[in-house]
Amino acid sequence: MKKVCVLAVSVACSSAPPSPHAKQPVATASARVATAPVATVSVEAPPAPADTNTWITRPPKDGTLFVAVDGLCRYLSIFPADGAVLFGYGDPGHIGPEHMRTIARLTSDGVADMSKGLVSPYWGAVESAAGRYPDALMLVEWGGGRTTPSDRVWLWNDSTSAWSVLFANDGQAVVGYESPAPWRDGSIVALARHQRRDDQPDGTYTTTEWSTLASARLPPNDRLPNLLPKDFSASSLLAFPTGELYVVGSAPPMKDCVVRWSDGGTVREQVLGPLTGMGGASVSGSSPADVRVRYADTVLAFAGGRWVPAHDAPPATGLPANATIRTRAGDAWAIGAGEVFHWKSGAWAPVALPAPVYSIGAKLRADDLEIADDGEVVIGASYLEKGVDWKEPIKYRALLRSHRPNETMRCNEPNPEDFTVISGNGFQSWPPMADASCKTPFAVLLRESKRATSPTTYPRLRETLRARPALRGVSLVEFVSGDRVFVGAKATDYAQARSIVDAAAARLDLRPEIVCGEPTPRRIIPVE
Amino acid sequence: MHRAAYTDADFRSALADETDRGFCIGCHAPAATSDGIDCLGCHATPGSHAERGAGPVTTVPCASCHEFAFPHEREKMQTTASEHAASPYASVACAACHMPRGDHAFAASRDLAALAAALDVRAARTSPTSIAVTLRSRGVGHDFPTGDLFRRLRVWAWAEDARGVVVADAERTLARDFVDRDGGRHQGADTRVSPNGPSVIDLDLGKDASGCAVEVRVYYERVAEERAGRASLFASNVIGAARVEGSDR
Repeated sequence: MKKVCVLAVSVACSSAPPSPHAKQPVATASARVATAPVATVSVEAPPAPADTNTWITRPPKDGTLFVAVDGLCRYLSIFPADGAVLFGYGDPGHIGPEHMRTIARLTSDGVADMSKGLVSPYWGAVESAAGRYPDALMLVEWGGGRTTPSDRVWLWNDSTSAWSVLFANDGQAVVGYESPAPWRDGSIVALARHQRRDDQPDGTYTTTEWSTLASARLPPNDRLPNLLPKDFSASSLLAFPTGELYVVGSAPPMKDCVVRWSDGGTVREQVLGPLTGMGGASVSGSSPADVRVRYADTVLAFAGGRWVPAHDAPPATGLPANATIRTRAGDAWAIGAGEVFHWKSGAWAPVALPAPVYSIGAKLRADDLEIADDGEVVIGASYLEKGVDWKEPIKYRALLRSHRPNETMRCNEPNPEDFTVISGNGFQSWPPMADASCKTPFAVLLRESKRATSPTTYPRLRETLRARPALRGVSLVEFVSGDRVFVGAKATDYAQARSIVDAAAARLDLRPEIVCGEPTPRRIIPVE
Repeated sequence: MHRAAYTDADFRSALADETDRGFCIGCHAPAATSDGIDCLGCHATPGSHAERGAGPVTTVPCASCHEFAFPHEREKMQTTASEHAASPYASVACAACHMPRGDHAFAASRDLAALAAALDVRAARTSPTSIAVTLRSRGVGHDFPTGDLFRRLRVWAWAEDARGVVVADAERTLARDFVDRDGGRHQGADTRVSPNGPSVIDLDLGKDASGCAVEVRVYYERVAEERAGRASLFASNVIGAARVEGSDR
């Protein structure tokens, strides 16, 4: 056993209470069909969105991959963790009166919104998920201002279905946290990054950085063992509930080494290093018997007390340049140049991507790839949608999976007046796009602002449609979907729906859609 | 605009992210009794009156808040005065453009008409799948955009087939690029439009775009926070556009 590159210890234990600003997000995924009575022109204030429409737009049976989520899913990202695949969308960093980001989990047949607790002031971008669902699931969030970056770690509480801050930036010495992981006795351990600046007489400064271990949930009267040496700068941590803990890092002037602790910290050993050709060394693994270290272009597996080169993935032969390969339990998938490939019979076979559900004809491109614990393939994809009479396209994003969901959900609409700035949050049921074969075409014309407080009968829109004699018999229909109110018009056929859209878009700045479905109305307002 | 420097909602939200808030407040509300920049904030700047008496006021009253380093660092957080000094307008006072006829509204990053007038956008096909977008600032005495470290231009081009379906796109942002190192931010590349010459951006839209018409939009974006290409925006507005007609493939 080699001597560990350790001198002394500095330990930081911290946990923070939940944000005092926490509020309930709007839940939309379990929407039910509206039951509001049909009304004529009203002068009463419209009720808040509550009864929402449900269409159950299910992806076709055929194919290998199915669209689970589609639409205005700004910055859609996948965050795999043990026992769950999380994904999220929304503006990172936006501070405002509304909850601006969504974290959700893929369930066996759909998605479950897990955004509760992640509210303003929550100013970061989710970097990754960590730990294990449901009892030790965490999110690592990057945030910070113009002058100082910082990180926080959030912990999921499955009994309250909400997140709370586990490790918080204290605004002073601790500038961030990395690699949170479940550890012994139900505890959670993470790397805490510290920083000290010493101003110099000439106006410059020197920066000293070091790492300690932060822990939470340790049993009462138990202490985090003094594991990390003084001035140790760590880049990666791996821990297991059995008590093993690996850290990659260095204590200058040494190069990086891998240090392992076991038996609650009583056994410490340097198990690899110093490493050469450094390029962001990291340690990962699914069990104590499956520990891997990556540095530069090298991957080593720790097995039987020694390190051996790991050959995880099939060769990239036949794939586009810069392809991403993921493997799990002998199954291998890849994405490259927007396409998807599956390793079969010793070669990469292309996999057809499904058509996006809420598009009038665009093609999906694969952007991200993950394989879940249970072998399910999850792909982040995107396309540029330019609907009928839109002036500019919008980048839509979709989440594909290899289990067919009960319904393709659509990411919720942002507030219309903040469209270029703010994402919506949560999910909504939405009808498929119409084509000439649709028997129930419906022209979606307006999205009502959440800030609208007084009732309107949409005089400009009605006047615009009235100007075309053929449309004078049309009625505007106000309906709820997700947490938004929409306004549109039922058409007798696709041609009339197109006429409605053309007439409205010619005079008003709209983002119309022609969908195939009959919404349950909240109000009906004749154009004439 | 100066009057709302402390009460502005975007500033307030950005301030909430900071640990050293006094650093920000020093410029956004320099007087303890004011919720913004009052008259003395500019007119009592040391040297400003002397400059005014001696000739054209240049950047002196403005530089203390539009050119400064990160806290405890040499790295510049904002560099507008230096950019001005290196521009063809170095001898022209800030106020000559930003305070026409003594107007204290300060037409700048919140004035869409002024932003659109400040940029000339042209695009031309360079191959069946690629275009070159030329951006030239007009009458701007500093890099464009200037000011806040996250402010940027975003150039977005998309190709449409004969049915109007978008088949490809390409995008580039022009900004000061910052990396996190030693616990702070450090500037890397600076791709903003210089006052000393045009920026030419080559965009390859890929084989699906071959011969298709290409639309170009240039957005002026005020960014709340940015990391790894993901930006949260305070505002994103089109300030320029161009179109490249389709060609035979």
